[in-house]
Amino acid sequence: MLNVLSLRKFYTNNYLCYEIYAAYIDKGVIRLLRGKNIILRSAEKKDMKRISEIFNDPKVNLFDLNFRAGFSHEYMEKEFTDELKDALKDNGNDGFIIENLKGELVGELSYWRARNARNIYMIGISIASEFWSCGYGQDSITTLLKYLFLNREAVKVELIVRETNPRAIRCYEKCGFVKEVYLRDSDFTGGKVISYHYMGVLKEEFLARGDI
Amino acid sequence: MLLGSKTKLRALLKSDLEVLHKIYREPEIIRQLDTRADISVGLMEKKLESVNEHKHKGEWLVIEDLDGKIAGSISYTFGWKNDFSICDLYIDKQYQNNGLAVDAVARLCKFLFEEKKAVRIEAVIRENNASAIRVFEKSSFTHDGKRRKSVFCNGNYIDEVFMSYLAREYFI
Repeated sequence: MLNVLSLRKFYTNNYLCYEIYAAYIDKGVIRLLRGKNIILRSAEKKDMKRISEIFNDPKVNLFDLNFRAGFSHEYMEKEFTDELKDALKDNGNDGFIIENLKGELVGELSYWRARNARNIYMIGISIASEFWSCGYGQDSITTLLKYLFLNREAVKVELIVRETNPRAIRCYEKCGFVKEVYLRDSDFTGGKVISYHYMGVLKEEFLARGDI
Repeated sequence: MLLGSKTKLRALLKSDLEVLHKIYREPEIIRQLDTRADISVGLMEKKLESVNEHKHKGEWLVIEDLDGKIAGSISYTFGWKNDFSICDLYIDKQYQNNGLAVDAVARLCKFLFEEKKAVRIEAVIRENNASAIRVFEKSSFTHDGKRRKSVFCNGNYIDEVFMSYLAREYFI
């Protein structure tokens, strides 16, 4: 019932989300968010094999903040099933699969509530290395920001990125994120102590950009 | 127990909670540190139990002056890697402005750097809490930046100040 209600709310309250299509299935709500060259869709269990391949790619793993050496697809499937249990509660966290218009799985994008704040969300994104520098990251983050600000009452969206990942930082800045805190010496990787950037974008800043 | 020049830091006991509860419920303190409107002794007891259960996550300590009177509390938690946060620092009104907080922070930092191999110690403070910012500035913490509009307080979103103290600065 929860889903039917939230779906109705989804359709009636949000006149701005004309590009968001939702379909109700037995187990939950499948959301489709459309960007220019990508769609964000709900993850399925069968996607986890490809996702674990992406996470295990050394190039991707180098920038990952999860601090795991490897991800078996069984581990990912278990994690996915665990998350699915809470998905119906709508705790304010969800994950999407990024697909390009050819239907290829490009990566994943997820959001969750920041600690101690209801209306502040954090996001995390991973894109397969063969799709880097195609604009998919910017496209999908902008799409997600639009959803969070216009449909989930977010006032701010935040993320944490390694300073050794300039490609990602440039992408986030294009999406409107601003470097806020420089978390010095927060991480240890490749035998070196490195720092993080804490970045954030406020709702009014994002809406003022006018490209939504 | 950690012995500083003005303070003693020792483990919090259930019997201390009554005294600590009184200190914590000062409106200026609870508004800064808690999202609740009020807190009961029972709830503090629960919190203490959970801290004691998860020892690997951190410790909750009592700040005593050298006569053994409870002046306040301080705690630390582990972060993602070799980083720690200092949190829940508060001092009873009558003991404030005597340098007790600065001494307690300095002693705890010494412990974390020299015994816990901390690489980074972090403190996150609301920007309207000038006295706490001053305490950490005096304890050699550096400003890392501001997390903008991250706390909803008195009808407004306000910033949080991130401060940190690094091992490479401590061991010069």
